[in-house]
Formats: sequence, C-alpha cells, structure tokens
Amino acid sequence: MKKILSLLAVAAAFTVTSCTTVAPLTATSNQVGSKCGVATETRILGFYPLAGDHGINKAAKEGGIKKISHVDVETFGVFPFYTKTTTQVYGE
Amino acid sequence: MNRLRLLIGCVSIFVSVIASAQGRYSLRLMDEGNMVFFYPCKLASLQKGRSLVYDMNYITGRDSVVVNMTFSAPCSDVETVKLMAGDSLYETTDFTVFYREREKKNIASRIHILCPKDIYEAFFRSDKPLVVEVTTKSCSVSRFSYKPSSWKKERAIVHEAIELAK
Repeated sequence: MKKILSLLAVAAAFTVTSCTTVAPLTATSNQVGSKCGVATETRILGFYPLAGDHGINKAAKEGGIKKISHVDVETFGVFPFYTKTTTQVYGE
Repeated sequence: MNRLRLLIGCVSIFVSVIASAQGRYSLRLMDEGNMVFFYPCKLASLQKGRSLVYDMNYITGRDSVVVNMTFSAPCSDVETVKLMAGDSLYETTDFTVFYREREKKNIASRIHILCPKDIYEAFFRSDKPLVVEVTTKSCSVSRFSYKPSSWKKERAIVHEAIELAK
C-alpha cells in the first residue's frame, strides 16, 4: 500500500511539472498568411538529438511558405525527462 | 533495486502518456474564416522501409483542405496520391512537390495536395480508418493507415475541431 501511494505521489508530481507554452518568436511586415508549417525537435533528459532541426527554414519548407508573416515557438515538457520544441511558421 | 526499476518504468509510462496528450491542433483567426491546423501525424506503413507523416490545414471559408505529407521511400517519382476511408475516395495526380531530400537510404518528398472539403469531412465520418496510398513509377504502391484504436480518437478530435471552428 505504501509503495502504491508513493508511486502515485511521484506520478502526481510529474503531472504538475508538465506544461505547454507558446511564445512569439518573430513577426514581419508580410501579410498574415494562410499556410502553416511546423518543425519539431525532441530532447530526452536534456540531451540533444542526433539529428534535430526545428529551425524556421525547415518549418517554412514543410509548409511550402515563401513569405513568412510570423513565427511562434511551442514548448512542451515533462521536467526533467522530456522536452518537445515546435517552431510554427505562418505565411504565403 | 526492484523498487528503482518499478519507479523508472512508471515514470517512462507516465511521460509517454502525457506526451501523447499534447494538443493535436491549433486554431487561428483569418479574413477568410477560422484556420485549424492539425499537427503532423505519422501513419503506420503497410510496407517496410517507408513512412508517411501528414498534416492538414482546414480553413472554414475555403472549399478545399490543404493536406501536406512527407513521403519517405527508396524512390521519389510520385505519380498518384489517393486518400480513402469507407466509401469516400479522393485520387489526384494534381499535386505539388515542395522539396525532395536524401534521408538515409530513402528520399523524402514533401507533397502538397488540395482535397475537396466535402470529401475530407466524409473521411472523418467513416468508421474505417483513413488510408493514404502513394503510387510511384519506380517502386510498388505504398499504403499507410491509422491503427483502429488511433482512428477512433483522431476522428473525434477532427470532428470537434471542425465544429468549434465553424
């Protein structure tokens, strides 16, 4: 019983520490576009992946975007184990 | 030692559960209506050594839905793209390739298609999972689909997103 309770307490603690935030990265004077492209990088225990790319260029290529209007970055994490960073590019 | 193993196991399961609960789409306001962008989703491949990751862009004021997909296979000379679910089918040779890149032993092709909105909405009313079929000149036909349990969840999410956007 004690074991189960302690595991539940740990699980609850990790739930509380997981979160998602979306922050602005940049905006341009180009018209707000209808296209969207995303690029994602995942890190486990803070280590960089062997081949990660969540740059603006990668995200724009994914959406076929040639004129960028604005860029947001979404970060999702379960501290300290897992972090997922997504760059979202909007434009035409 | 056993307790430590159990703890590590529980943490791993929990992290994967929380990671999978992350938002599936985002909503934006535009002049033409509301835009719902469904984040990339990897479909299960029915052939070894190939993969397909696709995302969708649904705008309420337009009559078609943008479907972009990264198709990774030994060949890149795509001829036809077919989407089907139940009785609904959309097949097209009118697609754009944004780029082609070498990806280890495969070539990744980023394909852009416009799917008519009524057909797209019919896909997500079907009980049978969506199947994406890519036909190339050099390789055999590649098929990708959802697992039945994932399809049920995906259908519900897409329905909800579209209804909220309208």
